[in-house]
Amino acid sequence: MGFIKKKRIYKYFLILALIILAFVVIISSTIGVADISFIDSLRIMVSRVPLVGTLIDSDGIRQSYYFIVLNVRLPRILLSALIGVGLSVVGSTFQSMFRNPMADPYILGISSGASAGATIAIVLGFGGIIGGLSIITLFAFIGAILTVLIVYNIARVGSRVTTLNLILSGVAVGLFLSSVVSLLMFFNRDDIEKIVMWTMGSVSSATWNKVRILTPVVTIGSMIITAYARDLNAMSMGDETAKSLGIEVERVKKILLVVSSLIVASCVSTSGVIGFVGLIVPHTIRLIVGSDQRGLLPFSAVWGAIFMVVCDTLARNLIPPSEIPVGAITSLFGAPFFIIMLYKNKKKVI
Amino acid sequence: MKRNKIVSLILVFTLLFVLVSCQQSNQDLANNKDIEEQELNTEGNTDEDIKQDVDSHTETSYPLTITDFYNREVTIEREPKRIISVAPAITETVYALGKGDSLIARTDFCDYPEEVASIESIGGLMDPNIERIVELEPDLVIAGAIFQKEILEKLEEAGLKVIILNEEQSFDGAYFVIEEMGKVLNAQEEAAKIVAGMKATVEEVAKKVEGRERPSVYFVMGFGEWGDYTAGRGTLIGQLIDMAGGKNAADDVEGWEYSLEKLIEKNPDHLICSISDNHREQLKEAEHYKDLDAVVNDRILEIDKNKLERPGPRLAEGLREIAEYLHPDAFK
Repeated sequence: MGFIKKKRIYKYFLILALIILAFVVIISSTIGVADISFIDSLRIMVSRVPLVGTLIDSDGIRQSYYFIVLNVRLPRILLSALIGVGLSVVGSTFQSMFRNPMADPYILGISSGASAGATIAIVLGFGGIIGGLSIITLFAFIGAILTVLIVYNIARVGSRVTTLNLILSGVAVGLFLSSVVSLLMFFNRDDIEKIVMWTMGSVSSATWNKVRILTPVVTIGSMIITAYARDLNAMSMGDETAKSLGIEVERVKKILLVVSSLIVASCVSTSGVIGFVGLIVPHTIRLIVGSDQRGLLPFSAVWGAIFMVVCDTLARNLIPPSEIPVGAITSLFGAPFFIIMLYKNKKKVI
Repeated sequence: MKRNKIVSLILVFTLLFVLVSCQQSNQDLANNKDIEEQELNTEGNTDEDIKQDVDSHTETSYPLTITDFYNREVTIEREPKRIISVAPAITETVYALGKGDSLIARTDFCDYPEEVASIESIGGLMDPNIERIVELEPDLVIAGAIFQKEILEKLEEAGLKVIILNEEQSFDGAYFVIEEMGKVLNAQEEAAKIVAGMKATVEEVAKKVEGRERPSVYFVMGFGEWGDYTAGRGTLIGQLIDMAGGKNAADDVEGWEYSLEKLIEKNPDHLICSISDNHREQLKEAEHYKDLDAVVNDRILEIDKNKLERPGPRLAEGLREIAEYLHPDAFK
């Protein structure tokens, strides 16, 4: 079946996936360390919906519970979902763009750049907060963006850049920055714990402010990338092939790089380096939906969100009151899941 | 085509609703919190009436405004009865001030006095569980400066009172923590007693070890595969060794790293190690360490490391232990 015929089925499945996402979000906000009953959590959330809210009797629920559900849990759930979307979309994009199934959002050294930025901020003692974002987050973001610029400029020839050079440059710069981080950690022994905790990734300090900032970046960025889905399909067959199909390869590459970098830089600077999502989610979806980015991108986005929300819920509830870093959970649960999927679909992959 | 448009519109509106209404929730929560506080204020009068006839010099009068480590002005309306401590030194101080009954939660690292075991933990020093802290509805959260700013903001958003104390690792740091908390918890008399006691011990030790020959002492923080660590010049432990009438063998470095070669060369007279890490036995087996004079002759002092690191009530005790070990005849 061609994509056009599949389109209808996909649309239904996509809406179904979105509904599942909504369910997962709502159910996750009822689960937590604080002992808030399921019904109470639902009542708390519904009471915030403008019209329906007034119909719900919400007496007898403590103020602190309102705060916990609405301002502690919900922001971090939404933040996880956004990160899931961002990382999956960029992962899928990079896999097509670099024609490399092992490509993940951090292949251009963005994560190392963000880590280096954050480490410098921590080591210099910048713990403050400006405009709702911690200085560490800002430094991480700047680090990530600077890294991409450096990587791009090392790899380019005039105004063109080959994907191979980008990968090589990204790997080299990334490794260099990692060693910088290690060195900084060595000379600042007292800060090691802070640095490592930041790197491992956590959404525990999520705020509505962060959600508000990340939402436009991720949603608009993802929409832009999705608009280039067909171009990505062509590019995955090689630059020459794509050009002969009428794609402006260099221009598309630049746009996708810029948008992807912004998405990943934003995600990493707010939550640390959460690995695995960008690599595995697109592959898993690919086993179900196929390699056509027109279906792959939207589904990766939604399932990436669901995956992240589930992982975050596990991370904060498995061993209360401690929290396992989300990155550990994504690898721990993502890997077996992917192996199972791969096993079942081995023949398809050939 | 039309159906697509309707579906998209519904999705967009839902998203907008969610975002807008969540903006509202912040406002409403802030308003509700004010109402709650006003209701509670009227109940507080009776406590203050009872305290009228006590010497006003040592009684804390509430509301009390404190400027904490981050230069935040925190106003405490009445004596805190439900306290959460996010640092071991603070937990120890709470108990030492006799306010152990008011402690409702502490960190994983708080282990003294033994009673804390029966009090629940809310996680680590840097990443305590925000949900649990909010759920417990404490009157006051006291933390050390290692507390993440973002978590601080989150707790303030929840309307909780948080004080960050500067836990400087020194005797002055300990005195500061104890006195500040004495003020905040209305235990100023107790705090003054503790601080006076600690200062007396410090003076006593100083007098007794004055003029005596200083043996060289090396504090074993870590050894083995992960490198050799000690307390160098400028660390609190280094300071304690000095105050106890010893000479810190590692005072040629600042910080915690040391080189095995130098240690062997210096061959210190005594070693100090931590009881909890069971180092004493391990040292006797460890390569190179087992050949040191101090190990061969078992001139090793085992001590509770926490007494030497936490800027709290037990700091003077730690000092005394080291001094008594180094100069036993001075303390007979």
